[in-house]
Formats: sequence, structure tokens, C-alpha cells
Amino acid sequence: METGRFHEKYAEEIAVYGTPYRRIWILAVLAVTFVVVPLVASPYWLVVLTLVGIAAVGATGLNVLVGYAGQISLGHAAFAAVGAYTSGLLVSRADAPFWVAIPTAMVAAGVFSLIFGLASLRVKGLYLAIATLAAQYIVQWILSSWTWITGGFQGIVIFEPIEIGPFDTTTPTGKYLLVFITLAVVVMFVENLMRSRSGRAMIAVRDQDIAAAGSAVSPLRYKLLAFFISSAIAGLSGVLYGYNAGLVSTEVFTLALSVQYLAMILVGGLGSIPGSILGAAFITMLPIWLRDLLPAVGIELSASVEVHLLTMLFGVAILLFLVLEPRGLYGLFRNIKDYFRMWPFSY
Amino acid sequence: MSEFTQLMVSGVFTGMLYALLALGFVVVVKGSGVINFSQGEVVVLGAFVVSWLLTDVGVPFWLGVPATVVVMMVVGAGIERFALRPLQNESMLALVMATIALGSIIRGLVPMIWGDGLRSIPSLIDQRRYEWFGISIPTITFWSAVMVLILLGAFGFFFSRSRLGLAMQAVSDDRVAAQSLGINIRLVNAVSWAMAGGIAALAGYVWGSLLGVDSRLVVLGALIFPVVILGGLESIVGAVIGGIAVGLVESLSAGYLNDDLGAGFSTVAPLIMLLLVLFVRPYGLFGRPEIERV
Amino acid sequence: MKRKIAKSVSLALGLALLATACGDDGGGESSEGSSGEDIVIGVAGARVGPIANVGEGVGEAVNDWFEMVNANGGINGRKVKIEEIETKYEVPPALEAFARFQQSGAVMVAVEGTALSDALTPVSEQSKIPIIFPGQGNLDTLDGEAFPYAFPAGPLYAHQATATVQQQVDELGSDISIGCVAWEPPPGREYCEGVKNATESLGAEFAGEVVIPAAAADVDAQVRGAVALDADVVLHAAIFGQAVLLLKGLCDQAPDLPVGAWHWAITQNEINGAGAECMEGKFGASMSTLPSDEPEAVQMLRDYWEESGSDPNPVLEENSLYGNGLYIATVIEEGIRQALEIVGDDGEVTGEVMKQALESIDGYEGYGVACPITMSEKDHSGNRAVNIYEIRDGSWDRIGDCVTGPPVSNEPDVS
Repeated sequence: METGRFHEKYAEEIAVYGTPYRRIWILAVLAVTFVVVPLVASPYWLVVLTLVGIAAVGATGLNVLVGYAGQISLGHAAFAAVGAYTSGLLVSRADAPFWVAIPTAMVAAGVFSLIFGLASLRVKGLYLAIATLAAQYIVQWILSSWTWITGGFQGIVIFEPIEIGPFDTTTPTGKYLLVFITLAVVVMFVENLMRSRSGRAMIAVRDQDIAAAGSAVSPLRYKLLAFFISSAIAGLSGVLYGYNAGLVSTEVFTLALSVQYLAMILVGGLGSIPGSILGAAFITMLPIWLRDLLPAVGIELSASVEVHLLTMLFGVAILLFLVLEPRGLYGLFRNIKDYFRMWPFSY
Repeated sequence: MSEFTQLMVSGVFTGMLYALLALGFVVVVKGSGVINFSQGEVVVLGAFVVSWLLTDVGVPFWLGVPATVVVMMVVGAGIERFALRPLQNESMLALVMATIALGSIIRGLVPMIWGDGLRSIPSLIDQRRYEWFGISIPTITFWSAVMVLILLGAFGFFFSRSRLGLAMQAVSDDRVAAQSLGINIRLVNAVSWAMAGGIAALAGYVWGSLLGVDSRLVVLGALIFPVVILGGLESIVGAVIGGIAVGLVESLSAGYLNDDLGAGFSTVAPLIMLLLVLFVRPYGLFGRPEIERV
Repeated sequence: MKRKIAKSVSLALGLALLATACGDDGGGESSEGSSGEDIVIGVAGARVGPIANVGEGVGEAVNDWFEMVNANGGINGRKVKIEEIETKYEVPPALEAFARFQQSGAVMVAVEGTALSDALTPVSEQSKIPIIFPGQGNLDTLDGEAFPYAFPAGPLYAHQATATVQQQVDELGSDISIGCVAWEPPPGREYCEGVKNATESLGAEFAGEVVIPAAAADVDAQVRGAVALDADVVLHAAIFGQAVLLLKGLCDQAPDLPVGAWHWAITQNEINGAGAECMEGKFGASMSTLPSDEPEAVQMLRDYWEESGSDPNPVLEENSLYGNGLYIATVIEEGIRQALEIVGDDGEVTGEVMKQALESIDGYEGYGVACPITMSEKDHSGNRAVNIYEIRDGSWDRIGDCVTGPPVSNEPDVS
């Protein structure tokens, strides 16, 4: 899978707007996201987009680790849980304001992940996947057995809504804006990170760690940095999750969620920020889309059959997608773009 | 003391059951280098097929179980042919993703064919437990352990004596080198998936007899990982020893530790052991050490 | 060539996806409430995942019940539309499903599974659409003033435990010791907390708690732990495979020990899994009257199937949790009837009206399926009563009618 940045000059590398058109594109995307959608979309689509946005934050975080630093994690739901619980408990028990609680939660999630990140110094690839899988189970166990942390068997922590003037996270629009403002900040941060020495160092470690060490890039330092940043962003998505649902409980941050994050970046495109967002949208909306598709093409089934058929179709769709477009949604997007750019001489 | 012996013995025997789950996974890693996230689902499929043959079709045990093994070998080979071969030259992560998708397909397919209810597998032996020297072992667990040992012997023979087995060893050592020596990689891939299918049929029979057959058996898939990380992803002996180690830690910590550290510590105890192993012996107790650290 | 086809197919796939993603935007006017037209009820299903048998029983029963109600002319002439959306017991799909229900104008949502009822509690309050989740959920939601739109409307886990202890004390006297085997996730722990509470307040002895980890595939150590408690009675809150293993283990190692369970573990699953012989004499709680007792509601369904010439739903016979589904269906029906009392037969029913309607349910028995349900603005519990069934000759025999145990110490005061 093609996962790189292929700039040839330093100026290209640090340019914010690669081409003049890019500035227009970015402004257009921002305008649609923050002006058009909140005004036009129905409450239902705001809810769906909010879920996409939360997933996109988590997936972007995971992409820093997997796509850029070349490490793997199956424990990102656990790191999200650490973030969500830290922030929720700080607000509900210690009366901390949210603007203190959220950064603290991110740091907590990042630091916690370093325990497992340390394993990345010893092992690679699939072994690391399994070490982070352990994080997943250990966090789930802590949440359900240490009731002095979570405050009860259900481990419910209520997230008091954020209300600043007309901005109110009890409404679908408020939740949508909270999530997408956060997503914009995260995207900007990661985009800038990748234009910096740290980002390039991560890519160097991913591509050839021994060579990187030879060029005075410490693999130890940048692997741990990638783990920290990636998990802090995962922790942030856990916090957003809490504000969206209004509470978190022990049964929320499961292995299935960790696998879904991974699926999002694989489907979207490794090492690509737009890919993470597209992947999050695809994995979140595919079940909805399949569900609405069946009646639309005239297939009426009993509920029990339909449920299982949809599970199956979800797998079939992913598999087909992998076979037809292994470079992910972002690769597909670029294909389409190139097709029209070359038109009418596209082939 | 007798409590301790009992916990040790049941830990070892349960560990053999874990090993049976892990064997199918290890064979696939060895033969085709794919981390198979759908092995749990393949086991469930095996359990449904065997339960269907033995109860609905009414085939006797001695025919039903081997027939399931054959069916599941075909399924395994089919998975390789139709889902993974088209992705042959793609990255490892694409293959991992494909197995996740496969898992979803099987999870949907099984209840569509056999319904949602819990099915059972008729037991072969009336006696439910053996009592020896004051130690009791469930019958099914005992015979499964015997089966695991036989399988282990068979694999040992296959991988060290037969031409195909040696080819698979070579592929797992170095795919490119093996290919350049004229080993048929496609055949090796297909055979390893077929073997995984066959093992899944046996695992499905054993675990289905223990827990009942239901689509929720997929949770078994998650039990594989601690076992293989302890034993090494590609080691067949390691899978058995890793299984026993996990079984022992689980049994002993359930017997002695639960109250002190919070309930259910026995689930995470093997994982903490796993982390320690990763720090001390990163490639598992029996894995192939690769000097690649920096 | 092949590559080109692949490209155009994936291009088409992507464009189609984009089209549906945008296309639906326009059609999404949410209708607030409904007047004179069908009343929409959402069901957040859980037919896939850890509580699949609950999801199946409840989903099938609710759909069957309202098919019958509609065929008989609806409730006071109003038809009821059941919209079931599968959640796989995951929270994000549940939030999406809830928003979809809201868009379709649903006035109430039935939820299965504690993780989901917890997660939807704040959203239900924000959108003023009540959720009901009989037989599960957390104790705090009993308080209607703290959680105005959450309606347990039936016995929670702890209530099932206290009622079962009460029945045992009634039968065997208070000079007994009771042990508990908990399933590690929250519901199991709450159940055992309830057992502990009830033994203390009834003067019996609590022998101790043994925990089964959520992912354990072997419960041998827990079986020995449960036997070692040396209790007169052991109650357990395990589900599915773990329940089967536990019951089998207890049958082998302590064949004479009386064993009871919560309502998710005395189903056909356990009888099939552990064997009829082992299950003989085991008992358990059920918030509903089991279908095998042929309550009026089941007879009504059978009559309807016979008249309309359709085949009886096999789930009725195969999954005793169908009874819990009928409980939920009849509560929904009564809620709608009360709502129509408030707004008139052609009036506009909204979520707020539904809340008021549910709070005015008084002594309702759901065509023989439920113990009397009464709710008020403060008290959303409905009832704390369960029926106790014992398995005799392979079928369920009712040994306790609508038993209510002592209150649980950590439940909110709603009197």
C-alpha cells in the first residue's frame, strides 16, 4: 500500500498550500462543514455526521501511529476510554472546568499508552498488535472491577453539557459543531506535525529504522512520540464520545471499536488524513446505507433475516473494496480526480 | 495441596483446549503469513456443521466428525482461493482487513442457515467426568487433550518428514527465497488454510460440546491471542505450551488471586504475563528470534 | 483490461455512496408527533452480539404483537408502526438508530441491553422521547425526577435477585445461607449485590460471591469456588456458554445443591446446553409470565394466527424470552392507550404525551403477561416483582407468583 509523501524539495515539504487551488479547496471545505451543513442538514444527518466526526478524530489519531510511524495498535478503544474517564471524572468529581479536563485527559491517555508503546521498542508488527490488544483487555477489566474508580458496576460517568452562550452541546447542532471544530484542530495539528522534523522522523523510522538511527533520528524517541500523540488524540475522541452521548459506561470501549478504527484507516488509506476521514465515514455509514438499500431495491425481509444479511453484506462490501481498490478510498478519490483532470484523454 | 494439584491439572487440560483454537491460527501464519482475525468465526462454522451433521442429519459420530473436517478443509481452501488470493501482492494490513471482513461474512451467514437458537452436540460418552486420585477432569476435556497431542505428533511428522511440510517450513522462513527455489506458494497457502479449516472443525466439535453451539461462540477468537503470543506466532509446539501456560495462569489466579486484586483478575492475568514475556522474550517463548531490534 | 473494469466498478461504488449520503439530506423533515396517523414506536434491537437471545425474543414478540393489534383495527382505531433497527449491542449504532426513530416521528423507543439503555438515557431526555427497557438497566433510573424520560417499567437485575432470595426464604426459612456467582460485567455484579442485600435484610446468611470473568471459557475454578462457599442455595447471574458450563459443573460436583438464576439463564438455551437431566429442579426468576403458561396474551396471538391462517412464530416455543417481549409489547400498547386517553383518539401523540401516559399506567397486567405495573412521575419502576419458575420434567413450573423482595440499599427512594 502506498503510504508516503513524495515531495522532492524542502519548500514543497513545508508548503501549507501545495497549489493555489488548494487554498480555495480548503476554504470551500471549511465553509461547507461549518456553514452549509449546520444550516441545511436535518437533525438525523447531523447525528450521523457527528458519529462520523468522532470516529474520524480517533482514526486520524490511529493513522499517525499506523500510517506515519509504521507501528500498529489494537488498543485504541482502550486509550479512548482512558481519555473519556479521566475527563469525565475530573469534571464530575473534582469540578474541573472542561478546558482543563480535556487536555489533562489527552495527556493521561498518551502517558498510559506509553506503557504499551515501550513494547514497540522491543517488538515489531504483529507482536506489537498483540501487546496493544492486552491494553484493551486490561482497561476493560479495570473499568468493570475497580468500582472505586468508576463509581459503580455500570461505571457510568455523566458528561455535563458544555454551554457557552448560544452554543449548547445538548442540541444536535451543538454536538456537531463541537466535534467538527475539534476534528479541524486535530487535522491541522497532524498536518503540521507531518511538515515538521518530528513527522519526517516518524516516516523515516517507519521506512527504515536502522537507517534512521544512522541519521541521528532516534527510533526510541519518535516511536514513543507517535504513540503518545496518537493515543492522546484517541483519548480526545473518547471525550467527544462522552459529550455526544452525555455519558460513558464500561461496556462502550470494546475491542470491536479498536478493530473498527483500524478498518477505517485501512479502507480510507494509510498515511492520509483525508483517507482517515473518508474511512470513518465509510465504515460508519456503510451499515446504514446497506440497511436503506434493501427496501429501496424492493427486498423486504423479516427482521431476523435482514440483520444477519446486513452483517454478511458488510463483510462482502469491505472484501470487494479491498480487491478492487486496495489503495483505499483516498486512492479511489485520486483516481476519480485524475480521470476528470485528464478528460477527455483519460484512459 | 490437593486444591493446588486440582487447579494445576485443570489448568493444563483447559490449556490444551486453548491450544486447539490456536493451532489453526498458527498454521495459517506459518503457511501464508496472514494474521487471521476470523479463526473464531471459522471455528463457529465448524461447530455448526458438526452439530447439524450429528443431530439434524443423524450421522454417527465416527462419520460425522471426519466429514466435518473434510467440509471445513474445503471451506478453508475456498477462503484462500476466493478471498485472499486476489490480494496476494497487497500489503499485510490489507490481508488482515480481508480476514476481518470474512469474519463478518461468516457471522452473518451462520445464523441465516441455522437460525439463532442454541444447538447442542450429542455427547459420545455418558460419563461426564473422570476421577483419578481425587482429581476430577471433564471427559470431553480429557479426550480433547489426547486429540491435541495426536495432532501435535501428526504435525511434527508432517512438517519434518513430508515434502509439502518441508516446503511450508521453507515458505514460513522466507517467502521470496522459497518462491525462487520453485516452491509453489499458492499450493502452500491453500494447504495451510485447508489445515486451519480442518483444525477449526475439531475445535468446533470440542468447544461446541462444552459450551453449546451458538453464534456467540465467536468470542473464542479473542482467546487465541494470549496463547500465540506466549508461544510464538509461528510455532506449533509453542501454541500447545502457550495454551497450557495460559490455562495454568487462569486457573491458578482464579483459585487464589481474585479476591485481592478485584474480581475477574484471571482474565487479565495471562495478558499481564504476556506483556512481561514481550519485554523479556519479544518473539515468544518458542518463536524464531529475529535480530531486527534497534 | 481487468484493472480498468475494477476501476470503473469502484468509481461507480464511490459515486453511488456519495449520492446516497447526500440524497437523503433533503427528505429528512422530522415530523414531530403524529395526529390521526400511525403511531411510530422504535425498537433498538440487539439480535446480534452478547444478548442475541434476548434480542430475538423481544424483537419477534413486539413485531408479532403489533401485527395482531393492527390487524384487529389498531388501538382505538390508531395503527401502530414498529420500526426495529439493529444495534449489535454497540453504542454508536444505537445513537444513530435513535436519531432515525426521531426522524420517523417515533414517540417512544424500546431498548434492549443495559449498555444501550444507559447510553440513550441523556439523548432521550434531550429529545423528549421516552425509552423503556424492562428487565435491565441501572437502579438510578427508577427515579423519574432524576431521569424523566427513562422508564425501567419492570424489575431490574437487583430486584430479580432480592425477589428470588425472598422466595427461597419464604420456602426454606431464614436460617439458610445463600451464595452468588456473578457474571463480571455490570448486570451480573448488580445481581449479586442484590442477593447480598436481601440476605442481610431478611436475616439469612450471605455465603459469598464468586465472579466469572466476562471472557472466561473455563469456569472450573469458579464452580469449585461456588461449591466451597458451602451455601444452602446458590444463585447465579451467568449467561450463554458460561451459564451452561457453570450449571454442568455444579450438576457434576454438587448434584444436590439447589441452584437458581436470573431471567436470562433459565431459557431453552440452558436446557439444551446443560441437558434436561441436569436442569431438573433448577429455578429462576422471570419478569414475565412464560409463554408455556399460556397467558391470555399468548392465546390472543394463537387465535390471531389461526384466524389469519399464518404459521405460529416458532420463536414463541423455542425462546422463553419471547415472554419478556410480550411484556414490553403490552406495556407499549397500554402506554399508547393512555396517551390516546389524554389527547383523544385522533389527537397528536408526542414523546411528552407518551411520558405522561406511561406515568399514568396503574395496576396494568398486560393480558396476564406482567405483574401489576404502576408508574408515577416520581416512580418509574413499574414493579419489582418476578415469577419464580422451577424446571420439572423438562418444563417450567411456576413456584412463586409476583414475588417482591426487600428494597435494595442503593436504589433511589421513589416513594
